[in-house]
Formats: sequence, structure tokens, C-alpha cells
Amino acid sequence: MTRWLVAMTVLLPACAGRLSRTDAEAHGNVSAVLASSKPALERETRAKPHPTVVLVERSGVRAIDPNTRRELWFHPLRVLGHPAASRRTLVVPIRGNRVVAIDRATGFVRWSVRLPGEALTGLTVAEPFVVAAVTGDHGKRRSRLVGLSAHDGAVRWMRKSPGRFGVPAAQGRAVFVPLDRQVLAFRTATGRELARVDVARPLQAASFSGSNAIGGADNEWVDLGAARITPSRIEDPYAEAFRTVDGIDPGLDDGERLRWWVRIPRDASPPREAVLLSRRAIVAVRLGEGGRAIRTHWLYVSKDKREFVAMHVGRRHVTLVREDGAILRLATEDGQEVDAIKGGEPVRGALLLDLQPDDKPVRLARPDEEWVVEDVRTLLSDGDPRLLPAQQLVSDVLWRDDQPEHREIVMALASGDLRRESTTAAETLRSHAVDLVARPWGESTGDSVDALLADLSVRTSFLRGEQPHALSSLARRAVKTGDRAVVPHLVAHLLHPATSAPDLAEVARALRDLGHPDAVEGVGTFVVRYHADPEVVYESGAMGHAVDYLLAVAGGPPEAALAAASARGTLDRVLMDPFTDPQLRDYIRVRLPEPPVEPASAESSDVPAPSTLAEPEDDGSRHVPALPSSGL
Amino acid sequence: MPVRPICALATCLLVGEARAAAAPQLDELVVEVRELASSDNLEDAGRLLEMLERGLPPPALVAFLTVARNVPRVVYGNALRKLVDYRRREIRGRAIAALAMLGGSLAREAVLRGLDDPNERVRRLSVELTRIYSDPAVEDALMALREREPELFEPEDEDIVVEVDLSEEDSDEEVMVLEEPV
Repeated sequence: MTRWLVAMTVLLPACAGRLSRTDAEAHGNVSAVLASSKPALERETRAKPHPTVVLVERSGVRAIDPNTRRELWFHPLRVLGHPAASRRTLVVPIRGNRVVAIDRATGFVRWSVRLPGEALTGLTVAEPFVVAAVTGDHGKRRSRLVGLSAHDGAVRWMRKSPGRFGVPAAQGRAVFVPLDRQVLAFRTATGRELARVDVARPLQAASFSGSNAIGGADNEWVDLGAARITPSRIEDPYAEAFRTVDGIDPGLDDGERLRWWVRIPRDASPPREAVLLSRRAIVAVRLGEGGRAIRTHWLYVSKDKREFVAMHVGRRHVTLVREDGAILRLATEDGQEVDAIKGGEPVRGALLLDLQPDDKPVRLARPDEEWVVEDVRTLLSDGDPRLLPAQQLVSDVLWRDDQPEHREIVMALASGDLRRESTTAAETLRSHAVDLVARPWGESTGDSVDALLADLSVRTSFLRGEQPHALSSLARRAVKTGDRAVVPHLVAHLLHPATSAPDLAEVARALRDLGHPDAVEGVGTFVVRYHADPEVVYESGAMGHAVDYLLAVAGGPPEAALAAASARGTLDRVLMDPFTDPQLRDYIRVRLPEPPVEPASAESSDVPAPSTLAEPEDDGSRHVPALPSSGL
Repeated sequence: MPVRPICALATCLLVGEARAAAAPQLDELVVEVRELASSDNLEDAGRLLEMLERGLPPPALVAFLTVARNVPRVVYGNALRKLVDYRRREIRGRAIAALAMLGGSLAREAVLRGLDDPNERVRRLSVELTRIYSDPAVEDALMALREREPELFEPEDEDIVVEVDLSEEDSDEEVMVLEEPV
């Protein structure tokens, strides 16, 4: 009798399927659930890892050991969704809303069951359970979450909801699943709801980055274990970081070939490293504030025109699966190919299991290396339309760069000097470059520029006890924004007597690097005011940077003719002043561009050249003096 | 007879002479600036303003500011205002003193700037200048400064001569002496 009562108590709720409302209030503590699930997770991860690449072919699933290059097993299965795996079990969704569980080590098929509901949304495995989200059945209930035994496929529990469960992710004793604007945590063994947390926007998939539980949709995600759940995102829209699942798992479709990988830091700080899988190209970038790519570390383009269908970024290697089944390994640091396994059958997607973890910062190549810029130029010159997302990303990054020669590549694209052909791809890229050039260059977002302007607007005042905090750093940040709104503040600091010599040099350097014509009057005032004062000329590199700025503006484009004339006039006056510091005069004289040639007239030919200034010798061996970068 | 060294020496002497002849004469410039600044002629004032607009070496600026302080002329008001932002404190201090002599809004602005100057000597000079030029707005700044830097207000000398050295520690430039008007 007692046994019967216990069985009824356990089985009845399980079979009936408890309801998960969509309007319930948040409760519990997701961080605590994560922490409590760790012991079970550790037990699971004690199982020996077997690095495996599971290739999903058109009519089968093939497991390869990437280290030994041996085929482990093959099953003729027609896969209709995204497989999932633990260290021991691979579960594969197939036709008829069925799931097949395969022992990873032996390839033995453990069980095959039909899931309730109509179609699969997503699968996850946390030994000894498999959790599946499925879409509705006959009207009322829109979706279900089902817990199965990983040993025999028996249904252990079920939750129904009028909302739509997203892709679940299980680890240890807890499974996390998005449900509209909330993420729910359930006990993997029983389906008991442990916690529920509100998120800003509906999420579509849960996943794990190391031991961090992540809820994401498209390019946005939240760290569920963080004290404050604030969304992070990748701003560049060329691929998705999370698969879009609108109820039904679309399977291994074209979206697999356009995917962002992001290393999500454990401390909930903004992500810094990302890798874009973009069909034939892989681009490793550094992310700046707001999740925008600001530097290209390296890029790799498939040489034989085939596309990649899966990617795993580990600490040392990036593992790629090509559409012909080939498996490539690149060095994570610099993207150099280190290993390749030949392919065979065409594949639609792949699962990369037990490879190196990606939970620690990876060391990446310096983005300003010449070979990186050369690779970027080569990528932009490639006419393959499949490279367009990668090309648009690297041109965005180039336009955010504070090095003018890098931005010139984008200007060459916009003007048609690079990619002259009239194909659709070239015209799309050109139009993208034209849009970029029409915007201010730099890497900052509107909010960060506002914050920077607020910091830059502080002037030294003894009475108010105010002074700008770390002006040199502010000046360097100002350059990265590329925003013209910073120019008046920088000019004010350049002319302020309280600006220290080191800060003065950084401010002048920032104005030079920005190169904006708006600063011509202020920088001209600085040069005119101090050109005959050796103490200021040599106290820092500021005078050299200011003169460099004026020289650049004087030789500027026709659309900045007024500023060019002003800069030219200032430099001419300084050049002709006999009291100008001699070294400064020599510096300007050899660098000042020749004035535009005007038609010779009888009057002008009679005017002698100023005798105080000798023309620079133009014999190719002339001495080009340099102003010191620091005071003499 | 070593001909080469002699030739080299002669060349050096000749080149040195030529260079000396071509070198700009700072002393002459200082004298010229002083004369122009002292002149009542408007043409001279215009010429000096043009020279100031093109930038002058510090000794010439000091010469101008010394005359401008002793013989205040409103025509130099704007030129003096620009020098209040000069990086050398001796130039700033002299420009503030010259503006204070002009009175009116220029003086008020200059003294207020001087009381807020990053350099302690310029602030001290500006405190002394408030004895010459007083204004309610300046009084507020003076009170604020008294709270932050009371040592500037300690009586230095019973003598009414205000002496503020604006020169560099290791330079022998002139000491600015301001006499309180009787």
C-alpha cells in the first residue's frame, strides 16, 4: 500500500506535466542554483574527455578523433536538428520528432524514443538526464520541457507552458531554459522549478560558457550567474552569437556558416575577444566598449573556396570543420594553420566535443602588425561575394582605427580606388565604405563620447580645486573617438597655462592625430604664440605635433581649403619671422608643401624672395631636421 | 706651413661674421618694442599690435608689458588679455598687472584670472593687485582664495611697497615692483 502511494505521488505529477506560467514572479537565486549544481558538474567532468568531432553529413553521423585522425564510428541517421552531448552520450534529433542516444565512446545506440509534442526546439544533456524543449500539442499548451533518462530514454518529468520554451542548457543538477522574458532553472532530475529571473528582452537559447550560464538571443546575452543581470551584446550585425530558434529547431542550416564566438568573461566584465566565422573567412577581433570590434588580430581565408560549417575556439587552437568534412586547426594566437585532416563526404554541420576549453583569455596577435593589415587588404580585394560579411566587418574596424593609413584603405574602397569592378558584391562593399566615410571615424559610442566630453570639459581652477583627471589619457581616448566634438576641449587645454608639459604633448599629439580642420585656429594660436620662445618649443613635443598638424592641414584636401589656407598662412608667418627658433624654422621649411603654382605675371616675377629664408636644397641629400619628442 | 688649418680658421671667422651679421638682433627688437609701446602715436600702436599678433620672443614681451603697466593704454587691452594665458608665469603676471592698471572690466577679468592662476606667485601678485583694483566680484574670489591659501594674506611687510618676484628661480630677470598709489 505504501509503495503504491509513493509511486502515485511521484508518477502522477510527472505524467500530467506541471504548468510553467509565463506571468509568474521572479523567485529564487540563479547564482545559488548554479553554485549548488557544481558538485554534480564536477562528477560529470571527472569522466575522461574524449576529443571528438561529430560530423553531421547528409545521410549520417560520423565521429572522428581529431588527435589520432581515426574515425570512431558512423551511423546512417538523417539528422533534423542540433545534436547535443555530454562526456558519455550523444543525442541526435532525427525525423519524426525522435531522438537517438549514442554512447560516444563505443558508438553503440542506447535508445531511440519519440518525444511528446510536435517539433523539437532544443536539446541538452547533463548525465544522467536529457532535457528537451518541444513545441505544442493540439492547441492549448504551446510548449513543453521534457526530462528523459540518458540511460533508457524514459520520460522522467515534463513541464508545460502557455509560453514558448527556448533552447535549454543543463549542467550538473540544474537545467536553465528561457521562457519569454524570464529564464527558469529546474532540477534536472525532477523538473522542480528552482528559480526564475526576469530579463530585459525575450531570450531564445540558454548555453554555458565554462561554468557561466548564459541566456542569449541573436547577438545579445545575459550572464545568469552575475549579481546584476545586464545584457551584453556584439554590436556588429554580420552574424549571430546565438542561434535564432522561433519554436522549431531549424537544424544545421546556412546559419551555421555565419556565427560569432565570444569569450564571455567569468567576472561579468565586458567581453574582449571574439571570432567571426563568416563562410570562407575567420576573423579574430578585439571588442571595445559597447561590444564593437575595434581591432583585427588576424584573419584566415579558406584557400580552396569551400566554406566552414563549425568552429571551436580553444586556448591554443581554433578548430574548424569545412563543408567537405575536412578538419583544420589554426593557432589561436595568430590564425596560422597548424594541422589539417582531409575531408570526405560533404557535411552540414558538426559538433566539436571535449576540445580545449575557451574560458580563459586567449593570447592574440598584435592588431597593428603589418602582416595583419596586409591580410585585411587582401581580404578586401577578394571578389568572392561570400566574403562580404567579413569584408564589411574589417572595414568597420579599419574606420574605427586611429591610424590614418588604416582608414585610408576604407577611403580607397569608398572612392573606388580599391575594388573597381562593378559586381554586386563590390558595389555593396563600396556603398558600405561610403556610409562609413560619411560618419565620424573612431571606436566610441555616443554614450562614451558624452562621458569623455564631460571629463574633458573640466579646466584647471585653483579656487574651485578642479583639474582634469589624467589629461593625457583623456587625450588618447579623444583620438579613439574620432569625434569632432572633442576638438574645442583639446584646443582649450592646449592653450591653457596650467596644462603640464607631458599633458601638453599628448593634447597636441591628439589634435595632430585627429587632424580635424576645426583645430586650425587654436593650434595656429599656439604655434604663433610660442614659436619664438625656446622654453616652450623645447619643453615637450607639443610644438612638433602642433606644427605637424598645421603641415597636414596645409596639404589637405580641396574641401578643407579655408583651413588649409589658414594653416599655410600661419606656417609662412612663422617661417618668415627672424626670431623663430632656428630648429623650428628648419623643421617647417623642409616639410612645408609647395604653394599652388599660379600663372606667372610680370609683377610677381619682379618680387624678390625673402632673403632671410634660404630655399631648401633639393638635391636628395638635404638634411631633414627633426624636433625632439621631448624637451631638449 | 700648415695651410689648411689657417684656411679653415679664416673660413670659420668669415662664416661666423656673416652669421652674426645675419642673426636677428634681439636687443634691437626689445628697444624697438619699448619705443613703440611708449609712443603716443596710433601708427606706432598699430605696428606694435601687429608684431604682437605675429608673436614675439619673451624678452620683447616683457619689454612691452613693463611699458604697458607703467603707461596703461586701452588700445593694448586685447593683446594683454591674450598674454594672460601665456605659459610663462612672468608673462602672465605682468599681463595681469598691466590689465589691472587699465581698470574696468578688463582689470576685473584679469585679477579674477590671476587669483585663480595655477601658479602661487601669480596668485600672490593678484592678491596684491586687489589693493589697487577692487570690485565686489573680486572680493568673493579673494575670500575663496583666503580660505584655500591663507598664507598669501599674511602681512609680509609694513612697507606699502608690494614686491612680487615672478622670475624663474634660477634666472636673473627683473623683479616686478608695484607701488601702491598714494
